[in-house]
Amino acid sequence: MLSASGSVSGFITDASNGERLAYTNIYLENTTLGTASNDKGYYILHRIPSGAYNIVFSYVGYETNISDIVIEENKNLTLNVELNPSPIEIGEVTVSAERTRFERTVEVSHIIFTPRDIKSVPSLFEGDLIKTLQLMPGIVIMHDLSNKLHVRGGSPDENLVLLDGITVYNPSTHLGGLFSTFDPEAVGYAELYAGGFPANFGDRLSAVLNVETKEGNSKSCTGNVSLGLITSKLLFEGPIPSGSFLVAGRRTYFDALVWLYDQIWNKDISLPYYFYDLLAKVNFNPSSENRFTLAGLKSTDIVSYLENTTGEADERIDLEWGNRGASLRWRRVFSPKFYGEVVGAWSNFITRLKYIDYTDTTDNLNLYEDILDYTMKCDFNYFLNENHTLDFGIDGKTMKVGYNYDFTEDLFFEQEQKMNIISAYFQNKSFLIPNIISINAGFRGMYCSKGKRFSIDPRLGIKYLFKPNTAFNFALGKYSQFLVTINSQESYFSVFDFWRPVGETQKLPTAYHIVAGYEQWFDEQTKFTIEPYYKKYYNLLVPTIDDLFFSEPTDSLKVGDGYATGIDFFLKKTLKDVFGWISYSLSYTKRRFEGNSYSPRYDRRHNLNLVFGFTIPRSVPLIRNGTLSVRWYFATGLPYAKDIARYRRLIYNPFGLVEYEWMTIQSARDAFRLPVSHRLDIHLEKNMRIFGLNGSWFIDVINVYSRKNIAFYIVDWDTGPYDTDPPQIKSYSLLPIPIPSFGFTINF
Amino acid sequence: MQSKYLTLLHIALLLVIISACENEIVDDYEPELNVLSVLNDMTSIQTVYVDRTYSMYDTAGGLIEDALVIMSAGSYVDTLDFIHETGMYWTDAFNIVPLATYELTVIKEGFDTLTGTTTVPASFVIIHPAFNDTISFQDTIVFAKSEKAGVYGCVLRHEMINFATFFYHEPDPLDSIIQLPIGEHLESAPPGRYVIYISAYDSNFYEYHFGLGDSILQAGVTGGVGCFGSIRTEGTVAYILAD
Repeated sequence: MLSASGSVSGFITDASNGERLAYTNIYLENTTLGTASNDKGYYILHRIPSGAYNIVFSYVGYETNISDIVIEENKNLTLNVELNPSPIEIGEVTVSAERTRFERTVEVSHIIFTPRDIKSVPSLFEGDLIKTLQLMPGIVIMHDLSNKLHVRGGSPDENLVLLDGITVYNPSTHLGGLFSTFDPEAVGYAELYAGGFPANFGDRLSAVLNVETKEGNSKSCTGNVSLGLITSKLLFEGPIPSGSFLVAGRRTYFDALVWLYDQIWNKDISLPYYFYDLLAKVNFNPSSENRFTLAGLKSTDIVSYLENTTGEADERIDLEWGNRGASLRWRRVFSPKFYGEVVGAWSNFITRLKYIDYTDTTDNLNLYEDILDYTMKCDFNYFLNENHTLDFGIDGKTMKVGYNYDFTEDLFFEQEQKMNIISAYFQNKSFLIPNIISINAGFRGMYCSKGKRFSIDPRLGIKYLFKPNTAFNFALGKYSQFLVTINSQESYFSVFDFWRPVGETQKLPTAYHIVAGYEQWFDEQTKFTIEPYYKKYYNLLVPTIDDLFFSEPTDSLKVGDGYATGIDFFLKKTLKDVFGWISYSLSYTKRRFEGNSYSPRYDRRHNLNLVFGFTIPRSVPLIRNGTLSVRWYFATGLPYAKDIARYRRLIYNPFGLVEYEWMTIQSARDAFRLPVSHRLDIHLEKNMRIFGLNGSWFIDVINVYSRKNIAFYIVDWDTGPYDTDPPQIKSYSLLPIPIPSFGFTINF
Repeated sequence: MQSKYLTLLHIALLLVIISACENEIVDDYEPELNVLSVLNDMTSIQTVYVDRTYSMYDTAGGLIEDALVIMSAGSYVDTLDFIHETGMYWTDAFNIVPLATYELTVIKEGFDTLTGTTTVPASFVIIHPAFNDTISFQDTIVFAKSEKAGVYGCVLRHEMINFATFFYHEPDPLDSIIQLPIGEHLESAPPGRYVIYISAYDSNFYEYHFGLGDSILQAGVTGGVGCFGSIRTEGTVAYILAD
């Protein structure tokens, strides 16, 4: 039989802009043969008996493509297909990429996001990928403004974050952590593994966020300009010979408006802060088998303040931090069955602080903190047959973490730590029983030059398609991490992390994941998942001074262990005119350090998110055919240490008089919990035409019913004429009133 | 059958979620005694301040006057008297001896009994300046480390005019000899004959006054909050000349 068969392979792309289409459903009419494109849009259909067929390419939101093909014995037919976008009607049965993945891949705790998901969810000031991810099951936020991801009891530094292959060490650094580095206009695709992730990812304990920017329009020059309350954005993309390019930029402009106001009205005010992001990408396809992609990122926050009280400069503060990175990728189809990608990436996170005192130069200060990462990564897929794929790869990473604290000429600290990590992985994806039981078994081996350590991390995923619409998933794996942060991951307002290699004498932080999943599809567009999980941690390293900034050096970190367990529920429905999801998480997280077991500050017991959006009917004036979406969340309180008492802290004085100050006595760090939080946000978006161009406007209102979610308490001692009067404990909300925001986008 | 299983699944999930509901924690605080006593070998009178803690909602009172305060060293025990003028308990029955251990007990009705223990730092030698040496403000005070000491304090007192300065020094744990540059602490001091006192404070004192984050509630005491510490002081005299 085998000798009388051939195959067909190729790439599937969007006809309007050349973007790849991952997980497209592909099958031969009147046969049982079918497959799906992978995450790069590549597909291969094996063992097709010689003859003539109609091959069908189906993807939600696109016109179904049916092509006539002739398969010849022992030959591969290369067929690259472009699908034309076509709005589907409600109820139309078109196989979604998610549904295709359900049928074809072993994936637990895996969620994919598209730009539509990001932009259609209500958000403070503008859509943000991290804010959208926070609505997913298993993800906890510490307060209304948080832009960190605490995934299934993990801290944010346990997440691997990749942008076009570039490791992003601090993804949420803008405006005090309010916005992420990812410009939503430029995001093409994002995937989150909340646990049990496969062997091609490593060096983190909890989760993986892999973000790919758009490829760039290879058909025509297009772009858009957006103006929001906080930022303005520009995206421009278009074709180049045998390829495409994309340039995107974003910048806050409040500082410019304040400057203009100052110039006109001479009010002597300034806003010394702004941030910007620049992203560029070039694709070059010298042949259908080869593609080269060059991507670059620069994301920077700047505070620049000049004190000028006497007519001359008194002091100056320059603070700058941000991500920079670049990657060059070569994707090659070596043969129809053998697909590979080689990535070289550079990542650099910098922090610079320069203080100049013009009146007393001995007060000058110059600090910098740097993390530099060079990565070379090779990933290969070998498609043995329609039921069997081998994935393997190797990557090498060389890192340098350095800081330089120059307080005065006499006080100077400098340190540089280097580390090389070499990793290799292998995973075998196969159907044990075709279309019923599939398995993804593999391992990841890692060697770290710091401490000359090896780690072998086995991974296993199994899917049992119990019925055509029902599957049971199971995954387990070991996860190791060679880098840790030395600042507390439980801080409410940390903007960026300070990373260090795990010390040579310290044991490697390790986690074991066990995830069991139940997945039910009610129709082609509605899925429901239940995922209980258990995650056990060993050798976790946290700062000695938990609530303050950071411990130094790494050897002074506390060593502990812990666990996280819970169950996540997720119900999602996506149609053209209606979409929404409900996510609920029940979770328990414990950490144990120096014999003390406690719930970390991000241990939220119950977390419910409701998202619902729909296209406004034609009968509604002004906003007909617009999109209205609402988001409501309900969450039980986070643990905190309560000020339960006060006392005079008597202070010894060698000259005889004892002084005192009032101090509070706190409960155990997790003895109390904050009150429940809930909030309603709405988002209204409407397409428009302006100056002959297509565009859209949006209005967001965050915290519609003015819920004061308590983020923390502060003791106010100045409450009466006597210091013996009891203090007041004041609660603080970060979003105490409804916050409206708006913006518009013009496409060209 | 299927609907039966589905119902069972719903019930099981509901039970899991309900079981995760948490009870409201009652904020019920029991006040404790609060003391400060630092035994000083340079004085014949030792003192103890006795106070209490308060819930966040109560108006605070003054220091406690009617507690039973007992100090002991080995088999010798003394009950301290309260002086209204100073608001503290006192005793002159003890000589504070290096490396001796002293115990404190404070009893007050309605509170847990507070107990404390301190061991006085060992004697140590001031190497430089020697008695009546002549030095400059650029010079350095050098002394050997004291056993059981957590931190050092230095008093420089001008003998002729009303001028004195004081500073603490946290030693490097690896040093056996400690050096204190005088000029760093006496920038605009008048030259003249100075009495130099170096005090070695015990680890209880150090933890209480220099502990991380001001969060050390108990230093050498149990059953309450506060500090029970001790000091060993050595002295010398030197002429400090202008540069």
